[in-house]
Amino acid sequence: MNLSILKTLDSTLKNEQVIDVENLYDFTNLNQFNFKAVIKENGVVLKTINKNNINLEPHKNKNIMIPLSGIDFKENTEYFIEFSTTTKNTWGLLPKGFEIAKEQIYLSEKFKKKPIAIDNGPDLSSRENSSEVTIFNNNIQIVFAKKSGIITSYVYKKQEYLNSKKGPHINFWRPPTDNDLGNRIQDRNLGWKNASLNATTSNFEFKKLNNNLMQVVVNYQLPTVKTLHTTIYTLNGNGVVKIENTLNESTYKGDIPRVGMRMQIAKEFNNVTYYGRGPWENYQDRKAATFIDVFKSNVSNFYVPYVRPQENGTRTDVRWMALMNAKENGLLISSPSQKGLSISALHMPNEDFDITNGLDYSKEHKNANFSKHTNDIKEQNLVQLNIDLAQRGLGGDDSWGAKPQDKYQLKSAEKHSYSFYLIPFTSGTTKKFVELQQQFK
Amino acid sequence: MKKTTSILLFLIFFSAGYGQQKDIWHYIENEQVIGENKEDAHASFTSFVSLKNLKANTPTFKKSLNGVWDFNWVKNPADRPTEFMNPTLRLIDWKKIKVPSNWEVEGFGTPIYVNHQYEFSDYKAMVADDMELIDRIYPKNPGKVPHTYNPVGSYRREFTLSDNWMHNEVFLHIGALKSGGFVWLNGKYIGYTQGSKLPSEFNITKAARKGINSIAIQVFRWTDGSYLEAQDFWRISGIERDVFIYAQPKVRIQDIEIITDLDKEYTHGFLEVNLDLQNHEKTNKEMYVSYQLFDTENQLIAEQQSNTAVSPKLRKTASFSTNIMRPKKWSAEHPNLYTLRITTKDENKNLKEVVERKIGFRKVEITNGLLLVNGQRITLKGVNAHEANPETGHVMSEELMLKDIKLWKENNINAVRLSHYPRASRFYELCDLYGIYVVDEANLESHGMYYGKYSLAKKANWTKAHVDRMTRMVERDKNHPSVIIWSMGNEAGNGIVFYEGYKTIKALDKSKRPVQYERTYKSDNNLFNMDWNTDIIVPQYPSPATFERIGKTKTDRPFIPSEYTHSMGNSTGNFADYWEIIEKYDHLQGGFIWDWVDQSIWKTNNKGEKFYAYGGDFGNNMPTDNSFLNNGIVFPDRTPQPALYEVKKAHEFINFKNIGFNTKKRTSN
Repeated sequence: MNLSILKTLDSTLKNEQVIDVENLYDFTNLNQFNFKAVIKENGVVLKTINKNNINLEPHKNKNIMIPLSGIDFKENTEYFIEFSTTTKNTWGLLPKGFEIAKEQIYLSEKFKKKPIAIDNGPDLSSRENSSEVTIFNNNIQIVFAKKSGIITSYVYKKQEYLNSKKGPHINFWRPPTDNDLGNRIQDRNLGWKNASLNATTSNFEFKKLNNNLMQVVVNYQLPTVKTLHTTIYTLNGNGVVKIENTLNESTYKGDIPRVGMRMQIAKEFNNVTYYGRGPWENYQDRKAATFIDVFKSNVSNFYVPYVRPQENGTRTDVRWMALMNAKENGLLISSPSQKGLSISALHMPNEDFDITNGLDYSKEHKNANFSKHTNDIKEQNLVQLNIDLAQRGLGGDDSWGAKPQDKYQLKSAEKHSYSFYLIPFTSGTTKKFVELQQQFK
Repeated sequence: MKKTTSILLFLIFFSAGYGQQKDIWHYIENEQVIGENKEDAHASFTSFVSLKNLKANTPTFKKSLNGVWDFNWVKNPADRPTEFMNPTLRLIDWKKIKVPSNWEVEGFGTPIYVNHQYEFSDYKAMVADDMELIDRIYPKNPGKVPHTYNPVGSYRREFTLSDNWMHNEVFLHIGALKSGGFVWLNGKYIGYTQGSKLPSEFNITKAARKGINSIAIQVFRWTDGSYLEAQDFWRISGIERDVFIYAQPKVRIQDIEIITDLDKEYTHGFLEVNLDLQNHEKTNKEMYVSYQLFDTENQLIAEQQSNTAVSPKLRKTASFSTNIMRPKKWSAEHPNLYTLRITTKDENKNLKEVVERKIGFRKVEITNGLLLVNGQRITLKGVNAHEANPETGHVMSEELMLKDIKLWKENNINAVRLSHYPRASRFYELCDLYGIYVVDEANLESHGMYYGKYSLAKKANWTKAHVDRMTRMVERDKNHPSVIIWSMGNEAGNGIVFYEGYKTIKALDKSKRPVQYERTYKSDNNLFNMDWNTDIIVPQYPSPATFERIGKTKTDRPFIPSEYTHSMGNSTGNFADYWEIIEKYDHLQGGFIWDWVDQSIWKTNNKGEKFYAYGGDFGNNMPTDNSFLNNGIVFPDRTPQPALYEVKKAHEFINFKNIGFNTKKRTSN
């Protein structure tokens, strides 16, 4: 073979991500800034690339290459490039090294799915009476109330996780934001609150799938919106509960404020680690500034003290969230879908942020308070979790009638399905949470 | 008998010290009387007697009157003190108040928050039974204020002037007073002022004394001026900005006008300086005036001088102009400031005054339907910002101004619309220094009269009051490079008043900045057919779909909404979607978020709990629009809300886009 021909046929595969950089400054070249790119895996930086001399005049574009060599891309794992642009020097009020732009790019080409076998643990026993079903073994005891269809006790290694017997219960309402009140959610969408408060259990079925796998199926008839909701609980010998929810179509006109469940766990589980968008509160139509990363916080910090108390604290695109106590024992909420869940964890129940606990939003009603203040909000002895498929967007085009943009609404006329796992754990670590989430798909 | 009575009344009113023997209603219920004995507005500057004092910023003839004053508050104007301006009168049972401050925040009277209506004539909860309405919601007699419920705040204090003040012209400067007030010095009536968000100045040379002086000010919560001040904020009163006495030589600089421009290539600059000189002596005086221009490295790059005779009867303008080679231009990204030093000397060449101003070389224009700065099409990543401090109401310290500006720079906010009134001068200096584009807005919102047949914009007799607020703003702020656009006000209807206003500002501003006005909708609300008296299309609250629709079609003017993204409570959704659209089309040149900061003020309840209070939390049966004043992306104490970070992200000046995974090396070099 003629070697000179080989040299000109340069077809080497390049292990690089091509990124377009656009300079939107009016009078400043990008050579005034340092650019750092990091490749991250489950919150850990694997590689750092510095590009500190991107010469680009205002209102021009250019491609830069981010080399991905030297990275062992694991299965079932998401990889992101995160860019951070900082000032090279002091710039007026901005000190040297101040971040003025950032971005997160998901390397979709690098995701490789590989199913992992689940060990469903030791055998399970059960007992049943007219009002309850109890599923148990040496490590766990889970009690279902037949009438309400919900879990009323969730004990793992002798510790009760639930507060006030409030296992996951379907919930389609959120404490109205100012924009919600502007577009009259308390009239147009109230049916979804009624559906949450007054659902009737039309069917409760308990079956044994095998020695270490039990299933409970609950059907709810929802009033006003007149449709059916099904929840399938699948429990294994390790105390893992898979919850699969389907909300059927409804002809009710008002969009659904949220499709989800809510539950209460003991206040001691206030230490949070999660993998999803953060670090601050975010919603499906206000999340561009939040990156998918591993965040550590505590439940107290999730509260956002809006001057008139309202819906707050949500995080979207959550792949997993672990809540643990000082002993590092706790509960992991995990999503089998790459889409993730919308979750909030607060020391206050939704009612505290709502105008009324009930359905009467008339201004004259003695239990309706449209003028709560921040001193009306106090931490309670609980952690309330909202675990949602999604929540209505926040909107804000105006606060006197505008609804969230159409694409950020949950339509009643569509069927909505989602599922999640509740996984109890001891000695929680990020590594463990990552592994558990990868297992339960 | 009747003649004796009228002479007696004459004497009573005269001894009460009001000028021109007229009663208070002539002043406070009369849209034709908006001031008496007020000095003409002029550009902000401080006069120094020597360069040494200037460099140390220790003006010899400037005396602050901020601090604690004696104070009296009554609810009914008939109960107000009428003799207190007499310096020898002992004040019995008077309280104390700090100046500047808002009375109602200091515990005198009730803070009221309403949005559209006039708080003294709100159909939702009338506070006075002598206010008539027409067609259910409109005040029947605009200009009329309640006669029995109209709180009056009376202030008095002493200060000392040393002998050397007496050789000069002495002036009183009141930074801001709401909504109308009378001034006395040493028992002599000085004047009256309205217009709550611009300074009022009075020549007090004749009344001032060497040694102890006594100043007295009486402020009415509501006047006819209140009909122009229905902004969406706390309706509170008082002296809200600095009060000071200053002096200048008898032959002095009355005004400074600085115009900078750039050539067709935006490379070389042009400077014009016009000094208005005034002679308070009895005979003509020769004046030597000069300027020096120092560049960004403090190098002297230009100077000129001239001399002129100034008559006592007429102000004289001394003009200079010159070309500047390749000036470093001013923009929000690179706020390059030059120092202009102006010096005056008397006929014997003795130094009389030296003044310095920071100026910038920049050109603002609208060409081919686009807003350009220095020839470049720019994007205004803006917020609307009220003067709001949870501790002090509308009183803003320099520290808080700087805190806001720093947060804007940190969060990719490069522009502010001063909703809906001008700020204290220091604010503009900080914007000049740190680089913020300012839309300077006149203190005009007659919202309670709305926009139809009752609108004050259509009433010729209100033209004077409206145009005065616009021209005073332009005269004071004309030299700031940060001010790139004038706004005539907000939600005040449209008509002859604003047609006149537009023409007046255009004639007055030699820098030819764009003039905008929000309420230029015609009856069809068509954004492609806004009225002529706005150079920019600045509507309220367009949806992303409207931005897209405007973007896809050419408009005759730039499109920069004066308000969008209403960030009330947990809000600011789909903000990134707005910016994806804005970045696609040239004539979509940004917008101003409503708004920067939640306006709640602190309140402590009887359990000792401190919380952010809003409308309805003070007083009984007050009109209220509840928590509608909390629309910010930061909390009242400037703690960020999550929305602020979303704004920073969408406003970023650098975009990264994923093109894809590169599987082939480029074959060319």
